[in-house]
Amino acid sequence: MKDPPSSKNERQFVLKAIEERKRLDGRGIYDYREISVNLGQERGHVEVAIGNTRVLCQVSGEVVKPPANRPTDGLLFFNVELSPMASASFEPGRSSPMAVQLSRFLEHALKDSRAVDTESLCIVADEKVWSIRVDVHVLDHCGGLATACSVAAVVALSHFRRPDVSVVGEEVTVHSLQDREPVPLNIYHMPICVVVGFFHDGKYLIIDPTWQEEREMDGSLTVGMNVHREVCLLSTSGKVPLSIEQILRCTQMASVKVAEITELIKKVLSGDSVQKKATRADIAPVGMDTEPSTSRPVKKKKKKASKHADVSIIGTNTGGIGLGGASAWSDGDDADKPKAVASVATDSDSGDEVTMVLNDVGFKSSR
Amino acid sequence: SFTLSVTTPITSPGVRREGDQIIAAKSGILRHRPPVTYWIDNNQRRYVPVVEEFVIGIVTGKPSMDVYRVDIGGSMPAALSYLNFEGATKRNRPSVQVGDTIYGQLIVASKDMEPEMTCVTVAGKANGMGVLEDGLTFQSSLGLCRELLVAESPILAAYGKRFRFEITVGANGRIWLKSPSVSQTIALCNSLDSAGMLSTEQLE
Repeated sequence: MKDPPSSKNERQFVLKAIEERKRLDGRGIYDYREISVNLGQERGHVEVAIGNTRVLCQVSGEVVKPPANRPTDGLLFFNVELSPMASASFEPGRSSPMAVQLSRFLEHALKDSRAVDTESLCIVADEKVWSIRVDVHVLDHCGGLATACSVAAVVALSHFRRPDVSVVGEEVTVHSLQDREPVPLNIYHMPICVVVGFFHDGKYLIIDPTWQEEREMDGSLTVGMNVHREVCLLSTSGKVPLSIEQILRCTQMASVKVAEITELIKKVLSGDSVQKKATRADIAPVGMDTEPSTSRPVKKKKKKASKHADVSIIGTNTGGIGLGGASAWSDGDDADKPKAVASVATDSDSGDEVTMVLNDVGFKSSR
Repeated sequence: SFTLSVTTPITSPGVRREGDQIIAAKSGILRHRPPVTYWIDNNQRRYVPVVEEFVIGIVTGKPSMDVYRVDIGGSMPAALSYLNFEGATKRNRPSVQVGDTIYGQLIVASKDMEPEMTCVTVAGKANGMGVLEDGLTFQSSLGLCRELLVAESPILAAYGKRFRFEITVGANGRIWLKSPSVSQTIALCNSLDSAGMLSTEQLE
């Protein structure tokens, strides 16, 4: 199925509006649509919405044997799926050029720029490395896919935790999520792609074109940058020849946008880490205008310790809060009973204060 | 679903009969007009062509055998013969190009055949049908279009008090709007989309 065709009236109108520096949804020409980042319950799951464009990203990892030419590096795969529910022009079956292009954007911006430390993903050289897979699904296509996909990938990679691994001599133990707190990936920087559309043969430009504007534009420039003003990706498409000044100007505009977006991402991720320490409740989405502190139950550590003071230590590494805990059955076996398991870890920053970290084992808190 | 003891078959938008029960086939508000008429006011965006409805289409294909292909948002493009324009004869062809926006009426629309449309009434007059020049066409839900097409629609009355504009509403969910300035057109388009949800007081 194809998209409804663009009529002459629409094309004329869009071009005329651009000449008058107006966008179809009332934005300014340099304005981004509202971006909201929604972290999922699972680690590495994130949904990003830019206006009506929606994408979903899931990061997963597994232990594999590395290729012979790079035995000490982990593997990183990016895959963008254009779901048919995103747009009438997307067909099931993967070989669409746009999907390939978006996957390549993510690879260039995130892998080739060394945003993720792949050396730390090595477990045993030449035998076992982590293979991290980033799957981005486009749920709704209303323009600006490169931005949405890059934001989603970056947040998901920062949010993801891989199981902890310990190597003792020849023995490799992959600890389950219950045994040891999973470990984050090393993210060095966060590249974000900004899309610039050109009209009237490059005379006018807009940032973050919507789907209708994308249809009518003469060309586009996708700039992948991080907040340190390092350009990770530059890609042009369409039929507009661009001059050096134009490209430099675009990168300067992109750096402003990237700074704003990175600010939002950091807000979301820090809000989440505080949230995870306090409760295991659902995480509300954070938009560009919201302040996380007002909506999060940010508790001081001392207060937390006293709140969870009624922990009963059952065995080594096992504590119980509320119902459950020690077995009430006469056999005394401790096979599969829904116990509340909490591991107590000391926060290295503040000497004697205790940080409670609750694992995900069907825990029911006694609030 | 609820049980009605009726003996005649029921055909109603969004409602289906299975044995003795009336079952809702679409999501929406159930409406009732006594004595026995029930239907569901459903709001969707996918259009299914129905005969005698006025629709807005976009010409997608050059005339082959003197028939234009017009996309009306249904599963198949509608066929529009070049003779179905006011004042068109075999020698005097209408100036219609690919990409033009057309307002016309469906004369044939069934699930088995390709739909056909026309831009003239039976008497040969245009009555506002034909090519729509300038302005902006945008897609909205069928429910909103139905509300706008009601005689003396309160939405249009409220807008008409404040703005000057020309509007054509297609039953296929497409609305064409033309107003003196670009920014006004944009503002009207964006607000119309959500106006369907407002009550009369909120509109004012």
